[in-house]
Amino acid sequence: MTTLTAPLRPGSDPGSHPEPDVSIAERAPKRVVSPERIAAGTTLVAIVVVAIVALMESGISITGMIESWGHAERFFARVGTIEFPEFGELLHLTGLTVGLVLCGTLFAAVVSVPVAYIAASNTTPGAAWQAFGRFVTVLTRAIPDVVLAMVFVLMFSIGTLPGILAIGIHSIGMISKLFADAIEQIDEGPRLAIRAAGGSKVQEFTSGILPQVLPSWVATVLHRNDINLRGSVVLGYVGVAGLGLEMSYAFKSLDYSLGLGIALVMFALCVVMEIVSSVVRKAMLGVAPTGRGLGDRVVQLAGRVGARRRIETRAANGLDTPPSSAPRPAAPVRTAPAAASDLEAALRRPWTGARVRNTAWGWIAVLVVVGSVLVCDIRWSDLITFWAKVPAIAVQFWPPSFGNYDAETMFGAMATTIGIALAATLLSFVFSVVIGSLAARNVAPNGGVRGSMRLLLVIIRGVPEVILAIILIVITGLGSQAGTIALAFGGIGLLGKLIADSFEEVKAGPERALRAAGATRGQVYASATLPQGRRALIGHSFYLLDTNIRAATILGIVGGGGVGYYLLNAGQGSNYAVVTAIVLMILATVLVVEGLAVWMRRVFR
Amino acid sequence: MSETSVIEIEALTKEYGRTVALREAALRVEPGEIVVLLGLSGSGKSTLLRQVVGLEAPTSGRVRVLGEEVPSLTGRRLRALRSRVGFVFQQFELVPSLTVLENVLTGALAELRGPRLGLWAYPRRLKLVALGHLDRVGLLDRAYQRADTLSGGQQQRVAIARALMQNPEILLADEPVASLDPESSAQVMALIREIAMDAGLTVVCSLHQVDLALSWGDRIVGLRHGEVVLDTPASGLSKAQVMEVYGRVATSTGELQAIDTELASPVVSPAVSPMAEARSAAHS
Repeated sequence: MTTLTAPLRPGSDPGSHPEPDVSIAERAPKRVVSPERIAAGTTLVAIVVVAIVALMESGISITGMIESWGHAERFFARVGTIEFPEFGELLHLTGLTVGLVLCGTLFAAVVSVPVAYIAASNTTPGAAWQAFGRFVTVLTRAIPDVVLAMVFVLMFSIGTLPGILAIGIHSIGMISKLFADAIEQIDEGPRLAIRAAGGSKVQEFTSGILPQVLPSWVATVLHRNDINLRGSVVLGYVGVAGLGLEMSYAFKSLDYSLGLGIALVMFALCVVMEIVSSVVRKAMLGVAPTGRGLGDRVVQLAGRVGARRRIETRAANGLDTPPSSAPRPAAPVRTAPAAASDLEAALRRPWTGARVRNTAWGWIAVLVVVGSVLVCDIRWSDLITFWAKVPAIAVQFWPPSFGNYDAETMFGAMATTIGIALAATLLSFVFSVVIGSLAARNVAPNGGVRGSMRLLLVIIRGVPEVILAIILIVITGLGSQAGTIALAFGGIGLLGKLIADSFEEVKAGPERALRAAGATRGQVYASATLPQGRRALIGHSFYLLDTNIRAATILGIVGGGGVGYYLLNAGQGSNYAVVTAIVLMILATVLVVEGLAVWMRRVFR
Repeated sequence: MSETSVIEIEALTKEYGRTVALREAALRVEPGEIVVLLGLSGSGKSTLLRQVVGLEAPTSGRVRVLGEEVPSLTGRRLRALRSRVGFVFQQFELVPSLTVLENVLTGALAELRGPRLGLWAYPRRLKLVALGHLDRVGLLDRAYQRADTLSGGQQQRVAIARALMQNPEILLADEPVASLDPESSAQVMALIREIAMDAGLTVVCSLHQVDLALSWGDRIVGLRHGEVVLDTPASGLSKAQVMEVYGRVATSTGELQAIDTELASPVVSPAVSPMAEARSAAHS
């Protein structure tokens, strides 16, 4: 032990420190900041500066907002009433939309299993396999589903198949990535035990890995299904059947009453789907995974009430004997092998409440899947005949070219799209840090604040951003302003929730330690919560940026400015070489952002 | 007497739902005392310590620390009291992603105003003090490493430096060595005692190892099922008295028998035995 260099006087005044020994500063090691960290920090600052510039140039201002409000009033005065399609028609369209979204998501889920298996570092057969798996993941994620839909609409006669395949292929990216993450986080023990017992690779997977990852996988698929439902509107703009197509027709023919009516239906559908997935999650997993969302809470409450009622009715029927009055006799220790009849009886698994519930839900799930396949009325023959058309169409896509546009226009449009994404991400970030922090249990001053912030996030998440953008564009006119606001708004719902969740997951000990030392709430937040949540904060923000770049492209298709407009034009004008060029630009941007995100997460651990 | 006691606890009861963590507990600690709270896990030691700095509110009873009624304190006055009492946790509770130095500096947050993030946010004067404390615990050369790159024993020493940063009058330690290997434990316990002696600190440290308590503390307060069952000076105990200490804190007859046989062979003189020796008995 070193000698006492900073003597502590007994009974010294609290708060006053003994005179520091200045020589200590010389003996202390010099602080070393790695050059990589400096570079990463500079890059981060540069990105923020660009985002601020983009935000200022997007023309969002208070006066502009007030002006838009005037537009909105006039607009709604002109629209008059909101109309809906007739009931039968509406039902059919809704079924079609839900059906093709479900089919697409399921297709992606099935394909994602092998992709995730070879991409996860602990299950991959080899480095080359892993690289290939990751490549598939990144590629499918980078190509917007709209582009895929545009291509598939050409290859298939109009119907649901283009939509299903577009949603399916695009969703593989996210689903397989999250599947692989789940595989990488498993406890290796059970897998090892199965290998030690002589199990095959497949058995290792089905018995050692699958049971561990299934809850997370189910949650992932349900989550992606919600996202796909929201995104399905845009697919209508490029000719995929369903509510989106009707909506695009309505707006194109300036029938705003009908357009807004369908938008409203779509919005309601998204909320219903969110509640349904929450119920399914609860039922299939048997646990409330987080218990944080509004939907989750409703489900839990219902579950509790139901359970109480069941117990009461059972007690009333005299089926339940209170455990205290008649304790069950302890099972005798078996010394002799059980009689064959006993084993026979034990073979039948008892129909407990849980088993009945699980089985019922399983069958309902099967029915839903069969139902959605039937509703989609897939022309399976297309899957065979379309191969013949592939070469002819593929040639039209290659080589990429800017066609009639000059490179400057195209790069400018891409820059606009990136600008929208950056500005929206910055806006979302600022609001999300405030709302998300206050929605975290360990940061919020009281339950009321936390509850209302969580509710606010749920409401924001409930609004599909594409629909918000379409309405804003209809109201305020074309341009990047509407797109930026729509993206920023939607981003708060996503980022705010992610921030709140990851702040709640930080270790509580350091926070308690600082509180015990007399730190204020703000100090505990800055010194314990924020440093622990930093990595997640950076990761989630880049994830949002990544999402926003793709979303900004899509918003361009509905009129929100940027490269999406040219993409739609090129697709409709059959300039497929231009489509390829634009997709390559988007791909490059997304890859750069993804690379940056990985780098930042590594440096700012 | 109440004028001189730094901690006065009377009839303190704490219930969590139907579980009673503390039942009518009483404790009085005089300035400069080094007290061990001895008991098995679940006996109420942690709950008692947390009551002292108001991390939890009592169900009933009085907690008077440094002349303040802790349960009645809120906001600024509660934080002021907490800043006068250092707390060392079993799991160290350092912020893993911050440097060792910044972790130590967080101990001084109570005397600073507003949130601080990053080393630059702390005044140079405090940084020098913090470096001094790091030197005191023998970790000056680790000042700029991330806290999670340190071993358990080192992390606990950083946590002690953080507590010293508060310039405390009382040091509370909740099972400070329960997560450490024997060698680090000996180091940390010795360090706490040295610092306490040098600075004239009052120390209340909870432990579950009887031998360690006997060799390390000045006074032993035994807890069982939330009740104070023992209060005795640690030195000058006869063998019979030591047996009684074991008996009071242990729970089952099986445990008592084990202790009996253990004590029968190498007789450990509890007051003076070096810790390392004493510990070996407890770990067998």
